[in-house]
Amino acid sequence: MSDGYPIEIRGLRKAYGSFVAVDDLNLNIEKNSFTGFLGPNGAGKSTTLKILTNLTKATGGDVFINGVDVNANPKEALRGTGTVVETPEFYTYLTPAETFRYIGEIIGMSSESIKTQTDEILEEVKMTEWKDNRIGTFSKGMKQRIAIGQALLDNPSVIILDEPTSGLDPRGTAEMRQILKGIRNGKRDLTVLMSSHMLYEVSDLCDRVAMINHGKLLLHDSLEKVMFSSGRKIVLRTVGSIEEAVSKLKGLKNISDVSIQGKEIILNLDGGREDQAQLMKDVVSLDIGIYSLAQSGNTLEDRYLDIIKESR
Amino acid sequence: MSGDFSDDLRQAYVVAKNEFVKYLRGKKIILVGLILLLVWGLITALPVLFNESMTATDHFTGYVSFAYLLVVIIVAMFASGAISSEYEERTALVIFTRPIKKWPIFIGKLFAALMLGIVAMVFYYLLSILAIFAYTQALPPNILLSLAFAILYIFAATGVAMMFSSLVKKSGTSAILTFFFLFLITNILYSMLAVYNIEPWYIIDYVFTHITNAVLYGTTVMPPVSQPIMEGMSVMQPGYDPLKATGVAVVWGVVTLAISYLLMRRREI
Repeated sequence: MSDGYPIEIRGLRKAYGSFVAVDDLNLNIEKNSFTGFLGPNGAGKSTTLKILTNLTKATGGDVFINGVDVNANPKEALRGTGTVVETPEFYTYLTPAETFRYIGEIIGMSSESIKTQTDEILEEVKMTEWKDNRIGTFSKGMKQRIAIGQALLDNPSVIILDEPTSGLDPRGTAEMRQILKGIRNGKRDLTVLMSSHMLYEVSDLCDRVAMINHGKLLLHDSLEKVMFSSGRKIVLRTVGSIEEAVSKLKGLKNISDVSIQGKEIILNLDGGREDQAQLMKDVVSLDIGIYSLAQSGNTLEDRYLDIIKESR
Repeated sequence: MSGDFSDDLRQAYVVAKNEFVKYLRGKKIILVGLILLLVWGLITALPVLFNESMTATDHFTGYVSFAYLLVVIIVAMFASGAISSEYEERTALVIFTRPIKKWPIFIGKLFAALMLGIVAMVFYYLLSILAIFAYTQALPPNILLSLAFAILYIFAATGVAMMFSSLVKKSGTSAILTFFFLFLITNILYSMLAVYNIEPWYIIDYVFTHITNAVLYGTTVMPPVSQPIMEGMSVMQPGYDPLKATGVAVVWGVVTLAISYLLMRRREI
């Protein structure tokens, strides 16, 4: 049944009439990983997460959470799982503390445990101040923090997040990212599967990436490998002659391509972090007036676009 | 297995508790309370204003003849939104992704809706009896039997409301469908069948006629009577049969609730 993966997806298929949203999807999520689940609109991300959280039934295949078949025994499978699917709403007549109590009671937590965890989690998601205010008066960002908070109740081992920053303003997005970083870096023994359109967010938070399109898995690997499998794109700026710098840079070890884009020199470095450190030393020793050397910030975006383009 | 079942029941209780909080903190409860008091107030005040000489039974039939209308209003306002509101307001994304089966959610919501209707009806009956006693110094007959039929009608009508609630997307649509179905559609069917000399005992309205008739006939079964209304035309006056009416209410309630639950189970987000 289970091979020790907290989340296992085997041959998953979901069809709406003739439209196939998820097509023979196989994906195993490693324990304690923070996996970004990427794909364009309509790729099948939300459908997959809805099947995992028992909101939708699969047409075929199986999904397991902690070894329990979600379709056969959803109650047991979802025990120990926190979820934030799409943009959930909460009962407007309840306060955050009452919402946590309601969900805690459904899970079967003791009153004492609910009270203790409510205080801790509200502090973590920075909502302590509004603990006793009715949710009906809250902004979208505040509701989303409550959504993350309720997912943390009862110390889940698996958290499933569906675009947790969707629809938030820049400040709300930044706050949410900070909260998610806090969760990632915290003491919890957690496996997180998060779908997102924000590639920067994924590269900032996740250590693994799974990409799908047309309901099929295109790639699943560590973020490092996904981003740098075809080399590291390095951007340099010089106060000297660009042409001279380019000709000297071409002679360096592990450099596969050097080009000029406007006032920047773009080079492709084959190798890992150690090779990048060596490159910095070599560039300095060339004495070609380099005043800036940085890894391109669009690496995941470039890879994402390449992979999605190939899959069409 | 039994541990799992008892956990399901515990969860149903938690859901019901939350539904009560929703009812008590909403504005609808105030509106229903005002309607109930208005109906009661009018029925109490008008005979006094016109100085009519009425027995306790006369008074009581006046009160209970409006009980069905109150039931229709209560189920249209509360039970009709029990399921649909979870989808419309997207709270289903929170509750349905938790370790809870669908049936404890359904039972919890049903229990809360039924209890609210029953409490409102008991309150209406108590107010009515108090007013009758103050006016006539006597108690009407068959109070509990009439109340029992009112409760049976609540059960059947709640089933109808929850069926619409599982079927449609919006609570407002569900409330309108419930109100028109119980207040208009079944009424038209009931009246038309009677015109064609058919006793429409299988229509849900047969149950609410027993709320008033129970006061007059108690446990005595009255057969249907074909009454001439003009030359060559007669209308079937439905009979009074407590056991049959109980069966009709139970069947309506159970069937509509079963349909409601199956629709809810199949419903995806």
